[in-house]
Amino acid sequence: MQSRQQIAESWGWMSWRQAALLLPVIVISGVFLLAPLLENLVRSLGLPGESGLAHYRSFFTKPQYLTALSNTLAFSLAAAVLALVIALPACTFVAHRGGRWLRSFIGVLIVAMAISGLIRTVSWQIVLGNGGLLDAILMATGVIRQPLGLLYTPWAVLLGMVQIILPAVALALINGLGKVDRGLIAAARSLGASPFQVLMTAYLPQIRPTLMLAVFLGFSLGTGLFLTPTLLGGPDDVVLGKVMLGDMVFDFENGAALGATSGVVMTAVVGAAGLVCLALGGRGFRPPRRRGAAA
Amino acid sequence: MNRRPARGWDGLRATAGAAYVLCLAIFLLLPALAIFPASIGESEFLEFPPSGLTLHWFQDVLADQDWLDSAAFSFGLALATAVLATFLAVLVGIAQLRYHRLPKGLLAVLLAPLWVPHVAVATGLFSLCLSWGWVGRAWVLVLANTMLALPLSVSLVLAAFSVFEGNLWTAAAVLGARPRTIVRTILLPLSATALLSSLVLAFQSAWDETVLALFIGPVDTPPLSVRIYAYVSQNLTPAVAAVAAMVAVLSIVTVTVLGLARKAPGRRS
Repeated sequence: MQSRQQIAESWGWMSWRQAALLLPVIVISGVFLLAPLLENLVRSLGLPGESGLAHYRSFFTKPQYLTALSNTLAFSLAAAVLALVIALPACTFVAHRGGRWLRSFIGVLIVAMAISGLIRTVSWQIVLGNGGLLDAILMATGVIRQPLGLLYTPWAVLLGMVQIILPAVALALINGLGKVDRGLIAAARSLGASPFQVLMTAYLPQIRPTLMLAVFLGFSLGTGLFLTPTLLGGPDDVVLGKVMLGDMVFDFENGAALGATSGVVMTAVVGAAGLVCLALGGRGFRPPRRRGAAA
Repeated sequence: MNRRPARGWDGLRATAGAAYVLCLAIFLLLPALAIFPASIGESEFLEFPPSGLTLHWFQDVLADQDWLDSAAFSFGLALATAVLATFLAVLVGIAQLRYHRLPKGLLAVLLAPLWVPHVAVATGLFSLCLSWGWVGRAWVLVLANTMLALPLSVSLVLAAFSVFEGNLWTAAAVLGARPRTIVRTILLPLSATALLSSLVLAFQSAWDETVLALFIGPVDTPPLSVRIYAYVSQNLTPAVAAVAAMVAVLSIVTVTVLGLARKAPGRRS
């Protein structure tokens, strides 16, 4: 006769004691993460009597939502790619240099991350504002005569977003670049591969998963940053998060359905981006290694 | 690694690389320092260069009950979140250690807040809270922030506990230690660094969190981050810059202390 635990394990399920240990996190994740996402889905589909996709139809036909969605995607994608392109040379340098350079750079990234995104946004307002710090410095040194007027433009939003997501992207890169097998590159070189061939056949396949993971991390962080576009951008730079806040908190009666629909669309888009990045990243040809429990 | 003195192209490349890394570090840190000069100007509006220097914005803010209440609320929220998230992560770690695996999909759900847009969660949570009468309750915000902090805490604790996988637990059990004794005398002391990191990072995450708090947080005494947002979306004044400066200093001091603690002798890894 099988014990209850054996039965449980044969089903890939857990024993009672394990369940007791995990119950709190299951309840918290269920109530505060899964239930809200489900609530969005249910509300976006409307009442049983209504036509199921009415809210989606109005989401995709109202210019206000379409603009907000395309702004969100454009800003997040641009910021993620820029952050990757800017961070990659520095991360490659410190990852190969190792030692003190690596530790100090990681320290800088962690300190930068510790200052909250909101406060870094506020500091960009101070730097870029009309007659702000940057204008004052450039005018005092005679580089410009008129204020630049950078604040409340898409460029200010992009600058702020890149700076805010860059530390996370860089940490992901450093983590992956540190695992590159230099032996493979030396081997390719000694076998007579040109630098370009080495890059394409020995280096890129090793770091491709890392690159895609970093871009996805940057993108998903970017979609969540709605305070930065709101504070640094102009009236045309509205992102979806801001619209959702207005729909839910300030106009629940009329806005809730479209707010929930926006939530579903946003989750779906980020999830799809994740799958695309996973597919593009592939597994690389790192030697298979038993991965720790945290992986 | 190759550490010959670099010459020619290699030397140039090393210099260029170092210069680039320095520029990037400046780009990441320097703009944030702008809040300091902005908070000590005499004028009621931001101006550069300031017409005179003063610390009275700091005094004003520290004497303002609204700011103090928000700071106290944020502190309590962050502290509760840090303790709860770390405690729950330890439970998950023990479950993994004792039963060698977690139920399918649990880790994926626990790590999901890393990529699921927080504003989408906040939207759904707001409408749920509205129907359950939970909007503005502090404990709801604590639990929601715990959910957001769990990915960090769980990863840190699982990584630390994976060292014990199998042998150490068995050895202690063979010698007659009961599970509770093993946890208290071996597991927790040996993963102290990871637990401290988990506490600090979960604290920071809840202290800085703005999106969920905007949706479901209390309105009369909002967390500090929400109050800062409410002020700066109206008008950026030296007083708000002073608050931001103090918050930033606190964050920098906390991570620096954590960094030093991790470097302290006696660490593993």
